[in-house]
Amino acid sequence: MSDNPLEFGIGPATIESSYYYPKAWASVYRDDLLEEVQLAERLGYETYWLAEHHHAYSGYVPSSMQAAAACIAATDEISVGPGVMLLPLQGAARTAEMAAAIDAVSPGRLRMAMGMGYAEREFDAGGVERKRRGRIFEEDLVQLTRDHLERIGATEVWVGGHADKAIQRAARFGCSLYFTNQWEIDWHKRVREMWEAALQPLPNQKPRIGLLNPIWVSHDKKDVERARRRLTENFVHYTHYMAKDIYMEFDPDSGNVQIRASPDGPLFDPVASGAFGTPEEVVEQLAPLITEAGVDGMYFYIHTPAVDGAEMKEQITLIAEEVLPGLRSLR
Amino acid sequence: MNGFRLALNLPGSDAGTVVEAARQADAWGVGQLWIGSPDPAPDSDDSYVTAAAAAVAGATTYVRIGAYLSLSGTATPLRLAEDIGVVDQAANGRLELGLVASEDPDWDERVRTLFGAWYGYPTVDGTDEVAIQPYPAQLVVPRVVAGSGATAQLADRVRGGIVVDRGASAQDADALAPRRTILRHRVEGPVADWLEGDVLSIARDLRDAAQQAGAQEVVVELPDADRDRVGTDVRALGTVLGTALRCAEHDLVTLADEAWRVFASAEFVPGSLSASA
Repeated sequence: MSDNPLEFGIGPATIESSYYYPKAWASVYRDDLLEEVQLAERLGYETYWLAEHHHAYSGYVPSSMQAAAACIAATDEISVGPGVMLLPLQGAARTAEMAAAIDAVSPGRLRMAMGMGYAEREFDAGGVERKRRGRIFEEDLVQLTRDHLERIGATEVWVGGHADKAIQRAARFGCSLYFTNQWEIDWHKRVREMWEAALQPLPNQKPRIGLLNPIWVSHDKKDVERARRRLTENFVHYTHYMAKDIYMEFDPDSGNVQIRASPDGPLFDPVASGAFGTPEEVVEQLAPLITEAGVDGMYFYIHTPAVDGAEMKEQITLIAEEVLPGLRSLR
Repeated sequence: MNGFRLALNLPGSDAGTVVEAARQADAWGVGQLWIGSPDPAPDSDDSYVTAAAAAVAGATTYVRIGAYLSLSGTATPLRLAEDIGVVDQAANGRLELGLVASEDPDWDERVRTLFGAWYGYPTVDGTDEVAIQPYPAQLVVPRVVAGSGATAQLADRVRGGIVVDRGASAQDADALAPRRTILRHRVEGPVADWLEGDVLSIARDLRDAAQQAGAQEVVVELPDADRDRVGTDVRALGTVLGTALRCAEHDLVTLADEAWRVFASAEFVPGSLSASA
């Protein structure tokens, strides 16, 4: 079990404008984004995450560090960062420069969770060999945590990924872990043990494990079902243009999507495994992840393109007022 | 000639100082804040500059944001095009670009690649192209060329303006062309020390130099600005120099003195004049 303070967050943000629910970019990248992170801070969330993809019609932000910089400058305390940014496409030197700038604005508030990326078009356009992305990721991580460590200041370095190799790599470089869509308690226990055993802490880092999972809270059952359908719809579209045959599979007969957390991992239904229901039901569903699996951070994946800014803010408020007190009392 | 616009640049300052200056510029009517540097300086890598520009976008509402970009730093034109799109959207269309000219033979190509990126970016093998999203909020992001290699011809090639040094003549900048020209002026030390007792002659000197260069704007450079002092520096610029640069010639004598008195008044707080009236 972890002794780290428990923290909560919203993410990944800025995925609300898509080809199937287009919105004005100025709203996505300024009004809704800044209002939302400011609201999250007022409501006591500790973290706010953005997600990065390039050349995507989902509205994912390509310059996630720049979006994080805007959020950090518009707030006072909340930690903000990409979850995840695609390190092989950004490069260690560029990443260090961006982190240095953000850390100079507000030291210690940037969370930089990094992943390898997978979509072919991103690598083809960036001139990076996709098949070498694992090796490039590791080389960049070496540079970032050795050569550029002083430059990035108090920036927290996190690694996304679920494969044992990724977890051991994160531990070796003293990085925190950022997981998505993982509910199995035994899996969490195993990886925490593996990560803690191999962890080589770095200066200025507070290694911990965070988990992003889909949730939707409502006192209205119809609203909960609508949220499930929206999330399914989002995954369906996502598989069509971004992650087809890599991490996700779409079954046209059932209309459902299954995803896997790593290329060789088992398929599972992310919507079925999300936490959906009344505040009491959601607390009950999430509690074992804190009391048994021992996650340090719990981040709520509530953004889908069909949810507008006003509804998003209502959901963030409802979770803060009726779910977080129950979860915070668990540790 | 009057109506000169005032801009600010903090070459060599870190992003924290830049954001603090930007907040003050927003509050005190400084028209534009340029981030990075037209000359080699610390904290002026393009990736650093676009991250700092994004922070300024999040911290401000009105001030226009200039980003000096060398196109030879850690960011490729592809990543820069994405940064520019995100920052301009986050700033509601307040971003401008200062392209630091270089003798590097690849510079022109990088400029072309950058500005063409929003209309189709080729994959590395050239067999396909991808879309860069988001594109900027502005239909055309204003751009100027800057640095020792900046010329009027180069400005025309990028369909932009030019940043010139003190002493440049209108012929140098080819003022007859309808081109935006910005005059650089460097101030060492506290702005208030520079202005104290000399506002009128400083304003006249800057107005004359700007007119000679065919410039419509003056960018005051505060190298290695002090973070603790930058708020006062920017307030002095906005209150005193901004007024003295934009007012009509026949009002300059009165306003230069009055603006300094307002700035230097220890009791002055926004709204206090109307309250006492």
